[in-house]
Amino acid sequence: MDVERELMKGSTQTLILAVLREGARHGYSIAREIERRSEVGLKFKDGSLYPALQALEQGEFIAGVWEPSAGGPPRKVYHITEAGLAELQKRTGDWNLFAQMIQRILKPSRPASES
Amino acid sequence: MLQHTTGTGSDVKATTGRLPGVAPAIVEPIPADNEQIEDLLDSICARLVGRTPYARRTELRAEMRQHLHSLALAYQELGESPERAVALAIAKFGSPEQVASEWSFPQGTRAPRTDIRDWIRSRWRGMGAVASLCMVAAWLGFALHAGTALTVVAGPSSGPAGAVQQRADRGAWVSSGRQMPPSHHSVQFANCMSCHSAAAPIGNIRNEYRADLPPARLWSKP
Repeated sequence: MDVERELMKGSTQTLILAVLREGARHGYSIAREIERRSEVGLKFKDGSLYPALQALEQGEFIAGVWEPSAGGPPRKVYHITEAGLAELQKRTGDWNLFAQMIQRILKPSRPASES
Repeated sequence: MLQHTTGTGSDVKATTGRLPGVAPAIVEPIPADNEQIEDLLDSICARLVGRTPYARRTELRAEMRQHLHSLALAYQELGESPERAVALAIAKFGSPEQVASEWSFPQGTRAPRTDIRDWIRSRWRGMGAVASLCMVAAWLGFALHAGTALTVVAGPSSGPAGAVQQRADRGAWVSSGRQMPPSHHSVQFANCMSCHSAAAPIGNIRNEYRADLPPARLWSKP
């Protein structure tokens, strides 16, 4: 399933928060996890993660820490904050409500045979 | 808890749908400071100058470098050559324009122009419109000037009334004894652009229309 780029753009921060709720990850790992969970349905450019990560970090929804990695340079690992968890809960509620409203509109109001 | 430290081939296989090829016997590792990757990072970071502090840009650059390096290594695990692995990683990461378009900045901040080619690319439509308007304005100015000239030429002091309506091959303009070519100022122009004489009498220059003369050629004397 190809998802429109604009839809993905608006949802990137929520997806990052959802992935980080399960545990701390660095940017590359977040990208791969989003693809894995969506079963490669969500195709996006990896570079688009970094503006979203920066915005979340500025909003103090996530926090990044440089940690040493095995056999390589240190990596910046992000973890979700308390504010981030609350934000994720709010965004999840908003998203579910939005999806329900769209579903109501998309669903035919009565069977086509009655018209 | 850090769940992934490096990328795996299966991640990229799932993304590309490609099966891993046979890895070469000797795999040359992709250096962390690969030239193509650094070029991409230069281009992205240039778009952040003036919007993101230098320290933050340095940090972002290091993060993105590691991301790109992990992507390239993952493609290499699938059997790609180092050059192809880097190219695929860059494509997966996105162009500088795509990445920059995702950034949201506080209002009032704008990136400096770092590349004249980018500026031209972003403005070429506007520049084309301005060039077209300039051409139209020049044409209008020229037409207005010619219209004024027609009034002067058609006046009583510059030859018979309505002379300009006559065809050039029925006569010729004579300016102070010199015959003017028909496409010169004899037909349309009050002021000759090359000899600077005027169709209207100015000083000792006098123009008149001579219907009895043969069509004029360039500076032929009557």
